[in-house]
Amino acid sequence: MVRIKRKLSSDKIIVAAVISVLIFILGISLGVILTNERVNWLDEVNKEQEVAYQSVQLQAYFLSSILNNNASCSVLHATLEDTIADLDYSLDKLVEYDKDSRIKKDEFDLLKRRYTLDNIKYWLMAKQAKDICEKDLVLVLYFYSGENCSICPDQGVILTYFKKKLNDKLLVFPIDVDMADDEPMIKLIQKAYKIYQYPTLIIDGIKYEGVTQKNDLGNIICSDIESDSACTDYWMDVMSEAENETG
Amino acid sequence: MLLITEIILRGMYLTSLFFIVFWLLLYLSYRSNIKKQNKKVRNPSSYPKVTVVIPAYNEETSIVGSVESVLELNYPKDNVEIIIVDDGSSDNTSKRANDVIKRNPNRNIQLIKQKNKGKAHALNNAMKASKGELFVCLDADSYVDKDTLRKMVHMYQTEPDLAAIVPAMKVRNPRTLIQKIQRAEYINSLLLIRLMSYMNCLYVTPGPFSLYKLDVLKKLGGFDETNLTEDQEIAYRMQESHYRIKHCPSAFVYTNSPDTIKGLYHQRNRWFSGSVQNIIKYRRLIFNREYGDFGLFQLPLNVSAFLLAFGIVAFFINFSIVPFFKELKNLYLVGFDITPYLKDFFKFNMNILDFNISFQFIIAIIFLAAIIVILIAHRNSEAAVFKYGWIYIIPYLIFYYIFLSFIAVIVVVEMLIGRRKEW
Repeated sequence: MVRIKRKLSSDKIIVAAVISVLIFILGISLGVILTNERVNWLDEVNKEQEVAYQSVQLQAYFLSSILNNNASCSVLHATLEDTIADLDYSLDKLVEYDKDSRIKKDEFDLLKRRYTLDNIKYWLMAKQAKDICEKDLVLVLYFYSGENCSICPDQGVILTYFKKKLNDKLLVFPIDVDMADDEPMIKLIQKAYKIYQYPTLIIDGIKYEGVTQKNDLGNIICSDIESDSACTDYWMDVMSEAENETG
Repeated sequence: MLLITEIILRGMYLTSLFFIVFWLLLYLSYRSNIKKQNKKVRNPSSYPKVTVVIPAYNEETSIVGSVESVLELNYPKDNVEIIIVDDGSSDNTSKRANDVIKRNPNRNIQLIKQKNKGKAHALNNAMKASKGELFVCLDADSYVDKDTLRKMVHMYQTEPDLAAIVPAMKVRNPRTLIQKIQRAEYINSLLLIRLMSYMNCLYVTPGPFSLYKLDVLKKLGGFDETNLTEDQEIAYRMQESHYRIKHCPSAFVYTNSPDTIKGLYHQRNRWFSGSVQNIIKYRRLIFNREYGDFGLFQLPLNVSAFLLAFGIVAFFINFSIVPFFKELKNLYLVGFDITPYLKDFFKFNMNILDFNISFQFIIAIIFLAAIIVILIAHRNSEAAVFKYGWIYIIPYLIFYYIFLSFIAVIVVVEMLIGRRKEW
């Protein structure tokens, strides 16, 4: 019986390895191009938001100083709501893209810092607008840590739920405390409200530490909002639950 | 942690990509041989005596069909010896076998009964009684095509240095989704088997109608009765002794495949356990230059298939099971009130930048290559791609290998904790 003489297809193995590595590098390069595009897009959006902020600021100034009445509040409120929705959306994208990327970390961090400042700016502006327009509106300043807080996402879920339910009646301003070392403004607010644990919510100047559960948050938010049907439904649900419990 | 996951993930991509590119390259380099071989089907110059052994354990429903398919072979009847080995069946396997023997008094068929000692023991028993020059094993749940033996013998005569010839195995009458998926798997495997055959890398001589040179089998000491996959073990042993195994792509044999997930699980659990057993037994061959492509390519591929299985399972858990439970927890947090989310359900807000192109590009390339392989494989085995519809292709491409990976992981874990397995 003849035993075979073994061969080694080294040429094919090398060619296959080279092709695979080339395809792989092409994939990675596309990833780098994509990250650049994402940073550029976020930067562009941020610039537009700067302009929108100036517009909101001017509108508030006009209403409070020149017109001195709240008849045109709907314009201010609509602009504010649209801009904050934009800010929310692009901040979500920023967090998502940053998580995806292993490069351009410095640029992402700078963008995050800018977005955090924008959130604080808009929170202050929204407070001002609420006073000028006496609007039925709840403002939530939400402190969380992306790196050192495993329960923070739970609070995010509950806030998103109410945001979807109440739309423009609820404005949430998330602040990532991990940025505090780079951004003194965050430290300033933390000190002002004595925030030492996360998540923490500031609603109407009152501090709520730890995860504020759905029912508790519903009570807090809906006691501030009278006109919204979602809150009317909410109170009805609470009442029927209470009736069920008492038998 | 995240960085390690990413490195593992990218390593998996690169490994999968490499193997797919390699097989495609190999196919391209052997394309002309494949075309020539497809056309060339000639009769043997002579008809050596062949022993067909049918080991059977509780196969009363299929044994008659298997024997009859051998009786109908286009091969001189006097040169076919049939040995049925009843491996201690508790059903009517022996009775059915005797019925066939009585119905065919002019044919050389004998029945050997043994205590239940497994397939390898049955084959070794038959080997002692065998008078043929060539020894063929046919599982009792498989059926051979009329011209298969003729084609294999022709190949044996044109290449007398062959120690074993492997047929082209197909799933018989697939009815359930599970069987249709296995049909696709078998057809794809046929292409790989063909390419492995060109590289002298075949590491299994499957139970359904593999043909062996009897004197080689005897020289090697017969089948290993302690092994879970004796058909794989004998092939490894032949490779270890530098014997040549070749695939005969036009020699078709049809086998019953499991029709339930449970049946499939048990079959693959045994196959994979046998694979691990053989990888461990023949570990000295891995990365051994003396064994050429078999040692430096095929065996590392067999090992990396298990590593890849671990990666696939981790990937699946990380990207499907964990997010599922996360969503469940999120719903719990909001009292399972999904109404606020429904209004956004049909809002399609696509941003091109949201695509993680570097990963999706490679996944797309792998899927594209997999589809090309499926098309080539179907053409290679003379099978129509959409003969049984197309729906099963989707679970085959997306879920089937995840399922197999889970079995492979279970097998490795079972072996690590020392769980004993029997045939």
